[in-house]
Amino acid sequence: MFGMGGALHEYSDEEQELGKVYDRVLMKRLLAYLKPYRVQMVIIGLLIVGNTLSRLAGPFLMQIAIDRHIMPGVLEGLGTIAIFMVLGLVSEFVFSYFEEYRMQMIGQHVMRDLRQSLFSHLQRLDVQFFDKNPVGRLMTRVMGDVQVLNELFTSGVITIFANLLNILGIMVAMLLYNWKLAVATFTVMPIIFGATLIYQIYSRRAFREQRKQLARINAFLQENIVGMTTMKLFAQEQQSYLRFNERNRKYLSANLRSIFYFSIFHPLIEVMASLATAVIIWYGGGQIVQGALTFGVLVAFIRYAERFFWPIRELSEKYTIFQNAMASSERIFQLLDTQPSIASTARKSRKSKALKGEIEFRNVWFAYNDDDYVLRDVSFTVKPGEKVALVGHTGAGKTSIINLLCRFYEINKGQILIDGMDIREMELEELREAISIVQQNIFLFSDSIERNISLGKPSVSSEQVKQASKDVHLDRFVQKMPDIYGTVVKEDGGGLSVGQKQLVAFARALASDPSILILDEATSSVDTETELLIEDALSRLMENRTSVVIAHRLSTIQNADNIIVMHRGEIREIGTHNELLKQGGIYYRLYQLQYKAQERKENL
Amino acid sequence: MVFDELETAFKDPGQTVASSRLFFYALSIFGVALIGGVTRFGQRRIIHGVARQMEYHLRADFFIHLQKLSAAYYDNVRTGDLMTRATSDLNAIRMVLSSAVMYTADAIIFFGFALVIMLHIDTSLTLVALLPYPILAILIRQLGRRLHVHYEGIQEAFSVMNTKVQENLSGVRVVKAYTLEASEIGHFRELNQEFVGRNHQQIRLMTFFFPLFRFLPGIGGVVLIWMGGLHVIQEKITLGDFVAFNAYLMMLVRPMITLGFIVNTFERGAASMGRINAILNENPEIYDGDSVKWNIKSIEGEIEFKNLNFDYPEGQPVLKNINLKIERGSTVAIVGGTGSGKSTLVNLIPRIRQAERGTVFVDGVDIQDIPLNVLRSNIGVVEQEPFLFSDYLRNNIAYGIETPNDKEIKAAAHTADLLSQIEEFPEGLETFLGERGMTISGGQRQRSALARAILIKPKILILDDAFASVDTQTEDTILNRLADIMKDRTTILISHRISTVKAADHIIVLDEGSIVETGTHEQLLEQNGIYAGIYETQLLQEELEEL
Repeated sequence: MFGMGGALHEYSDEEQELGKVYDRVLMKRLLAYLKPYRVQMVIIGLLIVGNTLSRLAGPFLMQIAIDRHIMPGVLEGLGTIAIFMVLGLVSEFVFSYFEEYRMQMIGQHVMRDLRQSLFSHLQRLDVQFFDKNPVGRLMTRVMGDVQVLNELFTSGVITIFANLLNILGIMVAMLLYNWKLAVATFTVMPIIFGATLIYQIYSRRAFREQRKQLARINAFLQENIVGMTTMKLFAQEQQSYLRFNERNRKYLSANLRSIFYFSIFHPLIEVMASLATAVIIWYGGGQIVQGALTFGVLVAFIRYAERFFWPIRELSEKYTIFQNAMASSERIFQLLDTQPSIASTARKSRKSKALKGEIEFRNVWFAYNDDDYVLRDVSFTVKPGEKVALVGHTGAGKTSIINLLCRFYEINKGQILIDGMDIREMELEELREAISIVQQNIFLFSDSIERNISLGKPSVSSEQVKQASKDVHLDRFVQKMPDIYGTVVKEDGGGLSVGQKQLVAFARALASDPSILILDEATSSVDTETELLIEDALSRLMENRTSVVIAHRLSTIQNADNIIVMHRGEIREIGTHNELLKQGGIYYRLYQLQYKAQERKENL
Repeated sequence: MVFDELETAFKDPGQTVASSRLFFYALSIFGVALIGGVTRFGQRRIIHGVARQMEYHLRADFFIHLQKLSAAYYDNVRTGDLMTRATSDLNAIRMVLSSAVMYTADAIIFFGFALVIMLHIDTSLTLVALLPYPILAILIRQLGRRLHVHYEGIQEAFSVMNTKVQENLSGVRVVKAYTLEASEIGHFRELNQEFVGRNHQQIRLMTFFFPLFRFLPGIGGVVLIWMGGLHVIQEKITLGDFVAFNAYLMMLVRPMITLGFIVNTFERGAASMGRINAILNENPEIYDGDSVKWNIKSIEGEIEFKNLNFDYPEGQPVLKNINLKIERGSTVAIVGGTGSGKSTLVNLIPRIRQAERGTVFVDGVDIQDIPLNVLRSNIGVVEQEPFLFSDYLRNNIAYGIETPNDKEIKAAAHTADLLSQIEEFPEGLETFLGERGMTISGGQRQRSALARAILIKPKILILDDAFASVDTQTEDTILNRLADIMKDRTTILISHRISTVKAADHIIVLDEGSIVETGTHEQLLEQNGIYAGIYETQLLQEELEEL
């Protein structure tokens, strides 16, 4: 039961979309990625023409050799023909090399461009999107699906052109030699067309299923690697394997189904090629008997026919690639077409002026989904430099407030203003640069401590990193590490204690010198000694900055200029510590609970 | 065979040949091709089918092996890298098993078949036509060697890029909050370019060698025209022989053209197999050894540490000479500063990390002698940052049990003080959590994890700072409810809040990996040591709050 439902949830939306997109539209969009390489494409086209001509020369020279030299027994000139043949081979080699090389490189560049635009696009999408799309699945898009397109661009698009040219060249050569025999050879063509059409219909379904199942496996694998410890703790190896196996098996059967189509098509083309040869021998042989055809021409014809079906076979192989590529590009473009619901729509840029940091929530309503409001009619103002504490039970809406302030989500009703300007009218970048946030779950990059603090921003120097680190008392821990600030943090901060991770996040926030500082329950999980260090660090961090803090610790709250008490998505009380205590409301109750715990201690 | 028949047909081209005879030849060509086609269909189905089956098994083995590797291993690997191996490398290996094997089989059959008949027709001509092949063999070896090196580099660069994307996506909130989009894009561009660069070298090599494999056998063909023509004129062979020979030579050339592809696929697959083997050859550190007493079906919950020392591979000792006995059914609290070794100590009990033999005992039995499955399914752990799956809330809570029922799930949720909130969710237990449970709050995540741990009815419950994101009122409620359930069970509690730990039967204070104080809350206050210091600090804070 477990996991099945999840999988349905994950993929149902994707499936609906897949049927609607058409190949032609997709192809057009894909080809647009070739545009920057137009000049190179033209060069390749010329190389292909040269290559095709070189290849056509072989059977022609063969025919001359047989009809003019070998049959009549004229030795003279045979050497010359051999030399010409070698020249043909050399030019074929040279043309092929340059053609292939340039083609492959274009493929690489197009893939690079696609990956880059996918990655860049993902950077634009908002947090809500990432709530719904597992990292594993997105990874399959950026890395897996693009890699599939590699084949299309390197051995696909241009080779199709080359193959078509080849087929055309051979057809012309055959018609010039003997149009009747040529037409006889071409009689097998309709069968090939028919087979291709049927193949197209069936294989397409199979390929789509393949890709879908693969994405399921990868999403599962990714999640279970990250959650490996949890799996072990609950001794769920067996169950987890069964779920994995269910996905792996489905992928296998999808693959096995596609093999049938793949296996039958290829040999069929080869049988058709032999049928053509048979026709040449039967019909052409008769013509020789009647003296209408020379022996050399017949041999040349057989060789041309052989080369004729080669590109056709290759084209059919390209068809597999094409199918795969279409399935992948559907997914890629679907992702590229996902519009961020939060876009920078700045009307006025105020880059020149630094923000003062005044915050105002004006009748804000907000729901993560539909009408399930987590914030109801929230209004408050924070003056520049003021420290505001958000207090309330878990789930009261504190985290939502700070999420909205960073514009991670869009509000449903009302307005959020910073320095009197609606944040929807500000540039996203400008807004977020003005704000530093220390989140509940601290995310560290597997990079050096220094880079985790500076975040690679050129505006933050090594000295600033060290200073920030000293200010938040992180420096003493870093000094003990093997490579000091160069020490590489393991994935997701592994190797650092939770307290150390928090200090890194503080240093990070301090180093970016924001106008507005946001802290989310960050002070709640450190031991007393570290906490004292942090409290000291915090007071420096909050100096001359508007601060919004979510904390349970009353000492932190007490230093706030204003306390906002949240309850079930609404603001119930606002005021200073003493004012709120006098009111005897929710805050009073919260305070008493903390106080009561202390009283019990004293009684013991 | 068809060509043998043809040979006769062409022997005297000037003579009268009955058209029925021609038709027979044509028909036999088609007939043989048809048989060949059916055989090839069967061959393809079998080879591709087998390749897919092998891919399936290899992927399963890979996953099973990943499950066996311990936390210490995962400290040093990146998820993105493992994912590359499970996807891109696995695919490269499958290509060897399917396409490369198929083409190799084709090549050998065609080559062998053609060679025998050619030798039969004209030995000297055959030897001359074969001249380019030794050169080919040498070139193939050269190419193979170089490709191998390139592919290792390419897969490595791909892996680095993969890891980058994965990390970026996982850390998307930080990226957004600190407007790192532009610099992330820039960094990705570098890795992207690096990958293209690696491919460039491989492409240059391949595109040179591929046409070469067509060129060299082609030379054989030219020699044939010249020498063979001479032989016909000298009447050593017939013209029919000459044409047939020519056709066979073509059969010889064809596999050579696929040779480049084969070598390429093999080398790529070999490089990838090396990368997958690197994981498969990694020895699991924690497993059921020979000494395991399989008759142990459950545990009681008494824990003992004897002269325990522990350190991570690279770094200072984390735990030093720990001696501690935790009675069955008691509640023990562990207090200590950041990095004092609290989490490490509790991680040793369910063998998430491996302690030395003879140092950790449950019910008086060395934990290495208790079946892992028994040990772990009787220990419930709630971590400070619990991992939830992108699945329904119900499935997340019922994660550890096989047959969940609503009553039990709700009871566990109630104990964790989560039930009232679940009832407020529009979809209740059917709420779908985003990746890592990010769609619910930190406190809700911790309480879901608590419910998950309670539901397995553990004999030992470990709460590793499990209330860090829960407010004190909720924490109080939960602890009261837990007290009932945990009456006969052992509880280990790690916390920074004195209010949380003071009711414990026993409090242990850890400092830099050593136990420095033990006792009840009152005893520790009397000792006037570190614990008393922490208590006073917290008291002071609260006194300040009274002002």
